[in-house]
Amino acid sequence: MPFRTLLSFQDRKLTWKNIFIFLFCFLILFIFYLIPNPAGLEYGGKMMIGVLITAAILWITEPIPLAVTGLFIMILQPLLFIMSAEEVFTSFGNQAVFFLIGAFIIAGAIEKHGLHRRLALGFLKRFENSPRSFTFGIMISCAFLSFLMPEHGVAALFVPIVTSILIAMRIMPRDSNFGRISMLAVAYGCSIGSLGTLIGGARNPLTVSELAHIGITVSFFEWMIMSVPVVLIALPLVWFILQLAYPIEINDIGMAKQEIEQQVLLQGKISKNEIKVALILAFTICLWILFSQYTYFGLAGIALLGGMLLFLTDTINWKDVERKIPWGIILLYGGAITLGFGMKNTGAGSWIATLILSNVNGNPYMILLAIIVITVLLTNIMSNTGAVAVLLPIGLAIASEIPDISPLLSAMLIALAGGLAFIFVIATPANAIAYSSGYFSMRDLAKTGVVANLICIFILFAIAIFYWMGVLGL
Amino acid sequence: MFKNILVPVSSEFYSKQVVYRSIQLAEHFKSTVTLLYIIEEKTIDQTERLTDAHRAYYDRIETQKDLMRKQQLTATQIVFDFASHLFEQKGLRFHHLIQYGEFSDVILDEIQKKKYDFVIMGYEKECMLHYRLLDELSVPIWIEINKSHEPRILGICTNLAPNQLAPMLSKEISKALDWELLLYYIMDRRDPVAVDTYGIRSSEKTLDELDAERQRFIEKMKEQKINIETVVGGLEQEIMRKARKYDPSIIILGREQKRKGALGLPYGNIKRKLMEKCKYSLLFIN
Repeated sequence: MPFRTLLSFQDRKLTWKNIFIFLFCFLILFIFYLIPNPAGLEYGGKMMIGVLITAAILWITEPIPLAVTGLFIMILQPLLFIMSAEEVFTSFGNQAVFFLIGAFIIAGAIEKHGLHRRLALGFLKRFENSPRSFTFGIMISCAFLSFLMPEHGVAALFVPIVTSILIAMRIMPRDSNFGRISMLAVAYGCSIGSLGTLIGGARNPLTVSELAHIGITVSFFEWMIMSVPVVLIALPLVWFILQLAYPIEINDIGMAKQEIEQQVLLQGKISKNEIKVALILAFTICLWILFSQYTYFGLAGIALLGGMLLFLTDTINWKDVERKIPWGIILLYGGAITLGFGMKNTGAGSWIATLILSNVNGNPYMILLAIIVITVLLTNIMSNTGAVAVLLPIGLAIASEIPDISPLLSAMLIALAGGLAFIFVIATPANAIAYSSGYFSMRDLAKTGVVANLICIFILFAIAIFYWMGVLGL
Repeated sequence: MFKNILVPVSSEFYSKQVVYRSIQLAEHFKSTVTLLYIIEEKTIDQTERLTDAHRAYYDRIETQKDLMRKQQLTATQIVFDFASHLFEQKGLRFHHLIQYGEFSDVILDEIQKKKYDFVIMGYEKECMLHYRLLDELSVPIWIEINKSHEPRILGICTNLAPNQLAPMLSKEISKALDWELLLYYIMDRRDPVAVDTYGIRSSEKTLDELDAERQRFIEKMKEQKINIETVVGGLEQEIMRKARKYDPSIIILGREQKRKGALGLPYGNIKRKLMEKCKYSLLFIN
């Protein structure tokens, strides 16, 4: 067989470039150590800004895995005498970490029994009327599934399904706008959908956790009340942009129907385990919606209860958990949360906020717009969670300085804008997974991504002013 | 002339135009064409690198397997199927194979394994191509740009390249494709050296010496009924100027040996610059 697979991944090598990046980071920290403390900021705050810059550089350039940068941030703080090890590691142990663990166990069970595939195919079947509605179906299906499980898993599920359909339709890579839109719909659908619930992306529980540190509780349902309108407006508009940018050239969707039909047949009848997982998932979501705001229940308690029920019903075992939980995101999350904690406790966040506000016009609307634009720019060049981790402490500090902007408003803007990584392949795993199909080019992604980002910035800004501030009173 | 043509296509970038072009050339030269579908390692690695914090190891393995399986299917059921049909219609010999790896490495590896004498490939600036491929290949490489131009060939000879192949090949391809042939000798006075048939640069020459060399070459070509016009100026600039003027479908250039800068680094890789800036197809003869 002429085809050889290399299923072992290439490790990041210690290249000169990576060594240079590390030396540069240490140089930054050293410079921060040497410079005198600026007015209004003590040693800890000054060094914390150095750590923030170091984290941003490492998350953008990625000389080491994102998760290892998370660990690095945690150990830097006690090593540089910013905070004690006790304080740093205590800030890591909050309920959002266990919410993530519980959510990953549930997502693992969904994937193990193929419930996600059944849901995906079930959704797609409802959009077989025309090529246009089919591409809309892909976006909606991806978005809906990203409400229930992490967006990266949804992208990894949908790209092979959509590729199979395109192959069955004899759609040549790069040769068809239908192929292009179908794959872009996967990438954008997952990203937009991940804004909708706390499960979609790790940046969402990270935001909830940062808010909890300042005494603001956001329940699962409250998050959805704020975020779902953004999803519902952004999805059709971004889909419309895709249609305008790449007019679909085919009329017949018959082969796609057949392929979906065949895949549904391959799935067979729904199994007992799938029913059990679906029921537990529905039960957990109901609990999240109804009870997550109560102190003695909380997001994590419900997530872990859902996980426990999966064990008790024998739908998942420990081996599955070991295989399915991405510990990397937990560590990345840990680094992010301690970064936010450090920025707040040392006063570095407030100091940066004061500095920014003393140099710009204090118009709250302009500041809200600036927060969205900066977050979107940053999330396009680094990990979504990393971008949110870097900007949240500053955003929260800015909110505490301006009476018209509440911390919740600022945090929600950063969290949701952090998911709008549409322009580059490297911006988010969903883009990279869809790009690997070969059906669209980097230029295609950038072309629609820029417009989609501009539209979403506008949507987010309008929703923040008219809905969050106007109706919800944020 | 070209018995075995290699047509590498990448899972990252596929253009039907390269298949059409290979058929056109294979028909004339009675060549065997091998379509090599390369599952681009870098895109798979990029996906892996970006998801390593977000997805568990086993899930990533599954995704990688899934993506590669689908790319294999795309290759066999779409790319090869489409090409086989066209080659069969024309009664041409056609092989196909799939390889996994870095695009440039796989091509070099394949050329070492089998005796190919011509390579045709597509190009897109954003794709992950190692430009060293252009210098390391020992056979002519045709870079097909998917845009239509006048049926014209712009053949370039210069004091900075061995010129024994470029005029002949330009003439041959002009005959094969029935395209008009325009041949120019670009005398680069800013880099006043001559390059011999082995690609070795001479010591610096006076302008008179350079001109005499040029004259000798043009006379020699005239004997073979090949007319070449002379242009004086920078190699890259003059190529672009002439290309803009004549809108050729292909520019043919020999192995240029531009002056090296400090530490032996080239001042600028002409091939790379031409590929990135040029909207015309290119044929580099090494």
